[in-house]
Amino acid sequence: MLQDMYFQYRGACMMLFQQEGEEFSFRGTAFLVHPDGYFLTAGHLITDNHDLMVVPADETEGFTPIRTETVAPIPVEVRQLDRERDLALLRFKEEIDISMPDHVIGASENVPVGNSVACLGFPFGYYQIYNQLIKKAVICSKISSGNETRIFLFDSLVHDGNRGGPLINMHDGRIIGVVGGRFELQEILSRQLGKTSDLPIKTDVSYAVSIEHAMELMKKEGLNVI
Amino acid sequence: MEEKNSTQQIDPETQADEGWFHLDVHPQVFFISAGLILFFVVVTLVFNEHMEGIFQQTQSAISDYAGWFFIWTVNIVLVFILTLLAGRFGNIRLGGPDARPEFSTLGWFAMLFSAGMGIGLLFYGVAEPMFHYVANPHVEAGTTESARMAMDITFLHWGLHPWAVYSLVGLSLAFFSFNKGLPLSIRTAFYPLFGERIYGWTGHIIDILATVATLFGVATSLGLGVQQVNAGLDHLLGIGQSAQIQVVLIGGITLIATWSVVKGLDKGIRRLSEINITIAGLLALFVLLVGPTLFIMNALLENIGYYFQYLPKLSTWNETYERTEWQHGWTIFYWSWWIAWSPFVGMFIARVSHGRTIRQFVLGVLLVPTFITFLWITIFGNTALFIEMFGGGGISRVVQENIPVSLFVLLENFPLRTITSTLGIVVIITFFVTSSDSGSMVIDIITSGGNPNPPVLSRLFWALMEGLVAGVLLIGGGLVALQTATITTGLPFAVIILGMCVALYRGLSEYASPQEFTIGERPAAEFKIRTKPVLNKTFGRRRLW
Repeated sequence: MLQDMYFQYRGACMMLFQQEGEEFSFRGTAFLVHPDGYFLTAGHLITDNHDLMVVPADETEGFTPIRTETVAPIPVEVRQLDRERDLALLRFKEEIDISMPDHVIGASENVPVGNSVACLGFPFGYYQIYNQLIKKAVICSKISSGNETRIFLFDSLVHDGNRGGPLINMHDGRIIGVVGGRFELQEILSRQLGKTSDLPIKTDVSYAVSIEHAMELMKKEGLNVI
Repeated sequence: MEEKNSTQQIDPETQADEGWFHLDVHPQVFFISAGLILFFVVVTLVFNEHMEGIFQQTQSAISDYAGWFFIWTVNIVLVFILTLLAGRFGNIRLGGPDARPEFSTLGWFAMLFSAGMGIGLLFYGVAEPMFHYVANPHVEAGTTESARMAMDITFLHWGLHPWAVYSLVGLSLAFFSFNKGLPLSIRTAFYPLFGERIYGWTGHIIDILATVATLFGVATSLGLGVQQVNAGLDHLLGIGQSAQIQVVLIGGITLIATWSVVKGLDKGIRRLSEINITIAGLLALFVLLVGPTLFIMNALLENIGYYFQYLPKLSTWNETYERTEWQHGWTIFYWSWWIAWSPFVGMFIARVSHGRTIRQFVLGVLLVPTFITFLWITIFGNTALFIEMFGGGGISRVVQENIPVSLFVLLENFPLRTITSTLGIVVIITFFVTSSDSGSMVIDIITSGGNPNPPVLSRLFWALMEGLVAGVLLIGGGLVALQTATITTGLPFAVIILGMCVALYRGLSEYASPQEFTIGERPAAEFKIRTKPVLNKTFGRRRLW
């Protein structure tokens, strides 16, 4: 099951880089969702007006080297950005032929708590380790955040580089959310606690924004999703 | 699992939202089709006799030289559809895994049946077994064996093969349009053949031809059909047969059909189809009860058994050694007729089958309608045979002279003939309405560029156009010529249907196998990465919380 899922999505899930002058710095994960070259990622990964690009995972089978010196990035542009819900829709700047599976977008209302999920990403990109990782977890809870964003909590500690990756329903192999990060209490309670607070409350839970909010962005862009 | 939450759902609400003055049509297909239809009507009115000759010669040449090809085609399609029923694609859902059926199962059957062949059955359910009983190429006429053979031949012509052809076209259109995101239009079936070119003029031409053929097909059967209704009414009420009465009938049928099309699929066409099937069911039940009930019940089992025992033999029989021409007027005619109608019926079936799995689809479009057809033919055909063989007789003579009257002559043998004959007329008229409104719906969908809920103004236009063409051809002549012309399209479409089997199989295999994301050629400039570990939390704070 997990193998099929990895096989299906490994090509979709890419590293997101931004260009700052001569520097190419890693930002997180983005994934393909539409054959016209559209990607989804987390909104907070996009800051300022840097040129963005994606880099596919190493396509060699078997064991891939742990470090890479150079990359062949593909430029992308931001098409839709939803800061409230922490989502961004990107697109290839050039036209590139894409073939992809049908019906990759899942229906999040059908996912019960306790459902097995998997997430893909490049967790250690910030530490110059550009290997793709798949992790599995279960949905711990379905919550609605302060601004009524539907959010899945899942019991896996994602690393910074995982952000923007897909959360995949293991039951039907379809994407149900965009990984946002760890479920950190400091962040959630920061308004009450003030900025100085650095509470040592550790969790091993992460969250993902439900895919239907991303569908709204795709609709705005006039995309027909099958 | 609410329907509205699914993105792949055809939203029934949009039917109402579109408004009257919203005319979202595919300009090339819409206007060229309308122009061509006008052109053909004028040409037919001017050169009617000439055209009729040409098309009849064409049709008879097709029967002569391509009869074997039709027989091959329908058998291949039947085997193909049966493998889909049993095979590994059965669980694929039309419209994606989240799709749910838009119509109740009963409403779905009612629509399939009303669009598919309802009207023909009313006339031929009584008439065809009589024809074969009196003369058939297999056994001596007028014997017990010929009665059995008569039912079997009728079953062959109305049974699994036509519904398999409809299933194939419906399934191809539904799969490529609902699951692969292509427009719901005839051109979609050609995608595996022509690729992206279906969006250009190649596709436009295919859609234009389909539109013109469907409109003439529906309009000419309406025109010829009202002549039969008129004959029936005359027999019943003695009102005479005249063009005026027939034009009034066309007007009435067109108005109801227009109302039904404008109301939309769910509120108009589905409801009308259900009413229609209910009345037809009542009529059949009446004949079953007051007719030779035991004989019919016995016959149903024996007919079906006989059909399946002799299916391979009869469906591949080709008159090779007899060297007769009986088949041209019957089997080959039926095969080319069903195939010529399959774009229209297939498209309608595709539209109403969103959300069914392939297994449900094949069960619902192949087996259930076939069984209902067998039931109907047995009730009416065997009753007629009973009267002919053991009763007063006389039906076969009527059938030879005047097919449309045969149903009413049959009903005269039973009590309450006024009520049943009225029911009969109502059923005939509602069947015309349901095939007319589904025809307009199909044309609307094609000419609006594959929109499953086409704009109201265009529905109004095509529904009225259909009645107008039927009326004009009825008065000016040319119904037979254009209908023959429509049937000749069966030959090219038979070739296409075989291609569809291959294309659909390929599409389904690809769809069912694990797929990967791959991206094509891209600029391959290499850059050095200079990422520095970012250990401090510099991300913008999320506004989620």
